[in-house]
Amino acid sequence: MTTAEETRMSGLTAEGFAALQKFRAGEPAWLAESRKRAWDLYQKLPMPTRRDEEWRRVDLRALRLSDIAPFAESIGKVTSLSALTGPVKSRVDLGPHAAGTLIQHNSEDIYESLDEDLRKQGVVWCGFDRAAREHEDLVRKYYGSIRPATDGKFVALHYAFQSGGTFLYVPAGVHVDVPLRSLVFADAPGAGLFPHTLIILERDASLSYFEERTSERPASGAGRQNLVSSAAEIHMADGAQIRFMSLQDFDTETFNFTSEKTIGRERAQVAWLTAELGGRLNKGNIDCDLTGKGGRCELLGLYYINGRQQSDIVTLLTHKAPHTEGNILYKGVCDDYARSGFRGRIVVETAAAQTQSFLADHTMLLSDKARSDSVPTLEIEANDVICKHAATIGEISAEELFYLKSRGIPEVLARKMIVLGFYEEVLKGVPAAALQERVRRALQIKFELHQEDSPGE
Amino acid sequence: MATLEIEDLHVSVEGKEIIKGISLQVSKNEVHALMGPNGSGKSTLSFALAGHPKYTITSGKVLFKGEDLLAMPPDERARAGLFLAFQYPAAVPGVTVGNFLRTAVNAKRAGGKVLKAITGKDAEAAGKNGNQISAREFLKILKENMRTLSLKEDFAFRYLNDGFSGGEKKRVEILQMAVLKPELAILDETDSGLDIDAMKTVAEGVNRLVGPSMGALVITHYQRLLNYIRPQIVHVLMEGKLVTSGGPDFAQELEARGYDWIRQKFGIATPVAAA
Repeated sequence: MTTAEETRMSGLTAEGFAALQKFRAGEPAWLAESRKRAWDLYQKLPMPTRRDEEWRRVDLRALRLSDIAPFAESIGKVTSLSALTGPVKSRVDLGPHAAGTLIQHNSEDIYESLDEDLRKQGVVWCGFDRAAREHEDLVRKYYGSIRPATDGKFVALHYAFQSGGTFLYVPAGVHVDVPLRSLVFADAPGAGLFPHTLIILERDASLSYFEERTSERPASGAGRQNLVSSAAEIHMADGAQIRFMSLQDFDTETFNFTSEKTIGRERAQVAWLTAELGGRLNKGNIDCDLTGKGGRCELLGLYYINGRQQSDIVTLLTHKAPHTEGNILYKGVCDDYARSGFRGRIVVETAAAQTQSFLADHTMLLSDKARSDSVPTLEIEANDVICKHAATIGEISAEELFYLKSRGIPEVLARKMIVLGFYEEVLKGVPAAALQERVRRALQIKFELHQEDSPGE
Repeated sequence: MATLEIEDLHVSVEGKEIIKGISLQVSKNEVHALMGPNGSGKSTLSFALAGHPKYTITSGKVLFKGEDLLAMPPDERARAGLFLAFQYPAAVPGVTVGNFLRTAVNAKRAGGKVLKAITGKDAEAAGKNGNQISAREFLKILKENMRTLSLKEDFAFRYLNDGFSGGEKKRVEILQMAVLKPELAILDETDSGLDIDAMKTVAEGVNRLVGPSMGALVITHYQRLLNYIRPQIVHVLMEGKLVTSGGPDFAQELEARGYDWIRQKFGIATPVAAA
């Protein structure tokens, strides 16, 4: 086995890739081949620059790919949640209560559980690496099918170095009402993380899902960059429903690239919220295709960034069939020197008559040094369509602030209420109270930490 | 000592003097009405007392329960027991009436210290934390008060003033007053935009509170509210000054005769343009 020192030195380079291949010797041949193809592709694809429209506001100059280890040292599995200790345990304890839990610690899946009833009904829920071995037919069929490596430089990087992630299969007509929960926890400074999420919902299946990604940097790891490049692929058959909430809370030395896509067929219903709080850079590509009649998609997002954090979201909702309904709603808050970009696009293809779709993004700037850009686009090729967009950038309303203060609420608390209240409309878009509450708490904690760090307020 | 003592107060907005020397004392158990034509400075006075940053006090003194009110930030004024019912209360999307008011009550109980508690489990824990009121306990108090103001229970969970009708906003202002139990309430045109039933409900709400623990300064353009909230004294504000005062029936006289005779009697110039 490769030693930690070797991998640390190798970086996301040819040597690093060779080290990973060695580390993962014994994985299915098709996966190893897919890795190799992705690595070749990665090397061919140019690094995005600010001349590329979707990367115009993203600063990659500080990213040192050669300093990032292709995987982290193995820690070992745990057999029960009570065996967890330290920060991983505290994270798990924050909830929400779940019908199944998967924990990935750095590069490896360390714990998995699933409610026995769901297992009997045929639900499959396990770490991605195990699924690749044990559910090869399904994984091979769907892996990389809607988010192929060709989608971009960092997507190719993901497929080359993929390790960890989740696999979920819900058979026809089965309902997963209590959420399944996936936690990715990173505490290996300098490591790259490449989790892959693959979710397959068969006809009329339904799912409530919570995904959390977080890191705690040991003091000794200060100054080392981490990189996460993840992908998610969600396949929804006719009549399937998903309530999906993800919470990203990496430390501010992590560069986070996500590339996620859902395909919903007839009458599929998607309520999908992405909450981004952490990361030095968060670059997200979040897409949904509605390919069948009567599909619905709520594509929701929120972010709260401060310090020198950067967030850049590109989201695309494509209506490919008639009578579909869509709604993109993003709300973000930037404080200090934070910068955000939002590029939302709705495409209504010729076939998608009698579709209605809305695109809105609203940003609140809490400091005069914070910046935000928004580019909403609608492309409508069908007739008989209702499609609208709206975008606003503002600050905390002085009148709202005065009103709350006039009732005895101190300014810091009043500001917090207004900022947290700003997100409520988005949170309410995923009708799952426990998940809403979990994200609400994460926002609250981040806001309070920031206030404690800012004695001037 | 009166609860509120205003002494020769001058207030400017964007460099223009609007209040040009007002002195007024209001005590608990008392209702004072402040009437005057549009642009006379009624709302300026109420905002200045509440501490709105747009209003600059250029001279004068205001004591609240003997303390210097003007030295306090707006939230401290409120916690000390001053309440302003806004003519046009702001909407705060995402913040429910219940959460907002509980936070206000707890802020008062905490003496303005910022405690980390506003939602969910935190709010429940707050009940076990010293003198903070828990979400459950508070909801009970809130619902009782909502009933007396004919507000449906779901208002507790609606976003503050967001999409409320004019009448609902005014009722919710009075609800806040009932829950926060101020020692002195300033009601700024609380009657505007209310139909007669809503006005009665609001007036009853005020009347229930005025007494040994609260006094009120009722600002109004019309006399009709004063049929339901009976003031002991009616003051007339014109051109930034209190020009005259009368007993409870003075309001009716003003309604009947208008303000021009007062202008003539006290030698006040007719404004060139309406404010």
